Parts: sequence; structure tokens; C-alpha cells
Amino acid sequence: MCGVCGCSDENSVIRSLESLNSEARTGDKNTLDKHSFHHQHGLAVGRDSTALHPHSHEVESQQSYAQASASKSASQLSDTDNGSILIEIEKDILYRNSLYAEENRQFLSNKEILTLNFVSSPGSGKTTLLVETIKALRAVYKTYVIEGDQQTSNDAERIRETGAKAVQINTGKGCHLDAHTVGHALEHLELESRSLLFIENVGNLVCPASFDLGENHKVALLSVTEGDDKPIKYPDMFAASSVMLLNKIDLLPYVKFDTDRCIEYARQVNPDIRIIMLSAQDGQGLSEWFEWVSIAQNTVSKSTLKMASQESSLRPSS
Amino acid sequence: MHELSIAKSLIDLASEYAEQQQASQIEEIYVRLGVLSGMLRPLHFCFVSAAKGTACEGASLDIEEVPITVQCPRCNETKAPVNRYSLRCPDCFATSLKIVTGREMQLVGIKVKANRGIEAKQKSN
Repeated sequence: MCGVCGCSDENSVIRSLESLNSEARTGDKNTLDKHSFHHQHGLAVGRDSTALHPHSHEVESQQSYAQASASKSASQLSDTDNGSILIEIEKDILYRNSLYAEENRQFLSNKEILTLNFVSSPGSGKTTLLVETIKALRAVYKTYVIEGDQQTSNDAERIRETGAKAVQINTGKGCHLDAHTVGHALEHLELESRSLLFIENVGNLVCPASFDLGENHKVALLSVTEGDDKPIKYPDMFAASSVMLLNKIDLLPYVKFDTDRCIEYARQVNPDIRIIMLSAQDGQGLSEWFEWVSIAQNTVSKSTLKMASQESSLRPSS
Repeated sequence: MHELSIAKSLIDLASEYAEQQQASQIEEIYVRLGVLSGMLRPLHFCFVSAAKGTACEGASLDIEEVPITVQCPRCNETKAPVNRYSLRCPDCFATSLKIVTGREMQLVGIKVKANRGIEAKQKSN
């Protein structure tokens, strides 16, 4: 289900990345979404990097990946002795999500946008950290936020008070954001190039780990009011994240939290994880975090610039 | 809850392949799950409810469990780690280990009842 408008994707046809790429090249105009009348999918403008989020739900002329691969070869079919047929598939179960995530990633990377997916338990201070980060960096970067919560638009309203544009997604009974929902949220943001996109996932240390949204990095928040063994209790989340922000360190004198042990546990599940200790409330450690964000944004811009210059150097000079 | 989304993704993917073969009923679904996916038990639990009314209803799940293996740069070997909560090398206790297997969540294939459509297709090939 699309979390922005509530439309169902039951009848959607998923296209392979190759078909999406060929569509991008030909600028296929037959890709208008069937229900674009009730929310903008922004497909009428073609599929270049300046277009809005480039995915549709139904493309009549496109083959689905199943059609493509099922008709490819009969070697994937084999008889069993009781008249049954075995069909070899060999695909990731979350293949559909991965396709949408890749579309999002391509779209955001074309615009040189740094996208961070914030994951943590509820109450670890994600929204407060985002508010402080937006305020501190707004002179340098335009920031957009996608807020995921089961209910209410409280968090998006807190973000909007900073002047940043925010879209709230209510997941209802859902426990995580998925790439398809995020793709639709992107359409509502009119993102400028070289900006920052923060996705605040549903407060949950389990489910969001499995779902790639097309982000550059997952950022895990852990507050010192939680247990110091969270990284090994919920290893998937910390293994999937590039950074662990240890938040609320102003409360360390009042709580039983062994910082060294927590860091050791985090490194056990993810040896490469960057750890930053901070307090979004009183500001300590925040400058190190802001620096990390700036470097990450520069890396995104530079990698795109590098690709562009490589492309231009390949072109014959006129 | 994400177990249900994953079960639903599996069912959608399997049903789409079955539909391409004009098979309305899937008999068996072959799945490969790594220990780290945490999906071994939850998938069984969610599958039955999520499969209702789809081509997967009544299908049996055949799950291949993939153990965790890690690559130890110090020993230059792939082996099982200390345990699933401590991915250290059991011999030299190095920590910078790459996970080689154990995260898999894959649909390997499906078994469907043969119908004329498929038989004709096989003959023509």
C-alpha cells in the first residue's frame, strides 16, 4: 500500500532495472500513472534527473521481470515424475523493494543529494537531533525530511517549525518504511540538488534494518537511557548502519550505562561502524556529527562530479 | 511485523512466476534463509495467513537454512564465527570479519502442477 495516498499497489507491474533504463533513454511518454489524478506521480515530464520521482505503477508495454525471465529459457523449467513442474527463480525475496530502492537511489544520486535513513528505538531522540542538525546546517544545505510514524503528524510539524520541508508518512499497522512508500514521498518534496534528505524511520530496532530505502547511509541512534547491550541484542540494525550516534550523554551521570561496553558490542557486530557520542539536548558532540554529515554530502557531490567528468572525457571533442 | 511484509513479498514473487506459467496452484516453495535473517520460524508463522486467497495457498514451504560463515583476514580463512551474537574469529578472536553467508533471504524456486500451456512450451523448446 502506498503510505502517502493509501492507494494499493496490488496491480502494479514491476519493471526490471534494464527496462527502467531503456525507458529513461527513450523518454517513454506512455508511462503515465493510471491514478495520477489523485496524487502527482510526476511522470509526464519524462525521466531525466530533473523529473519528479520516476516510478509508475503500471506500464502496459513493459514486461515484468517474471515475464522476462520466465520466457527466457526452458532450462529453468524441469519436469518432476508426478507431473509437476519445477521453476527455478533464484531471486531475493525483497527483490521488489530493492528495485524501488535502486530507483530512489539513482534519482537522489543524480541530484547529488545525501540521503540518511535514521533508525532507532522510539524515544531515542531522532526528531530532536534532526531539528538541531537542520538548524545548524541550514545556512549551508537545504534539508528535507520524510517522517515515518504509525500515527500523527507531530514529528513533521516539529521539523516544519525549523523551516525545512517535511512529509509525514503514517504507516498505520506497519512497522517500517519501504522503498515504494518513500518513492512517493519524494514526489511531494520537490528536492533541490546538493541538499540533504533525512528519512526518520519508524521507531523500531528490528524491522527497518531489512528494508533498503535507497539511502546513502543508515544512521543508528542509541540513547544512554536504553541498555548498553542494545547493539548485540538487535545486531542487524547496527550491522546495517554506517554510524552509531550515542545520544543523551548529558544523562550519563544519572544512568547505569557502560559506554565502553556499548562501543565494544557495536564493533563486534560492525567493526567499521563510526561512533559519535553526543547530546542533541545540550549540544555536546554535535559538531563532530555535523562534520560527518558535511563530509558525507561532499562525497556524494564529488562522486557525481567525477562520474560526469569521466563521461565528458569520453566524448569526442568537437 | 516486518515478517509479514517479507512473507507477502515472497508470495507476490512466487505467484507472479506461477501466473507466467498459467499455473493457478503452487505446490511447493523453495526458500533459502540465512540464520541472520531471523526469518526461519516467523516465515512459517506468517506464511499461512498471508497466502490465503493467493496461488500460494496450501503450498508447502521447503526452507534451506544457511549457517553463518565469516571471512577472517588474519587467518585468511572462511569459517563459522564464535556465535551469532559475536561474529569474532573462533581461533584468533579477530573482529574485522566480513560476513560471507547467513544473511540470505531468497526464493530459490517453485513447484507447480503441470498444465497444457507449460507442456506445449517445453515441446516447442
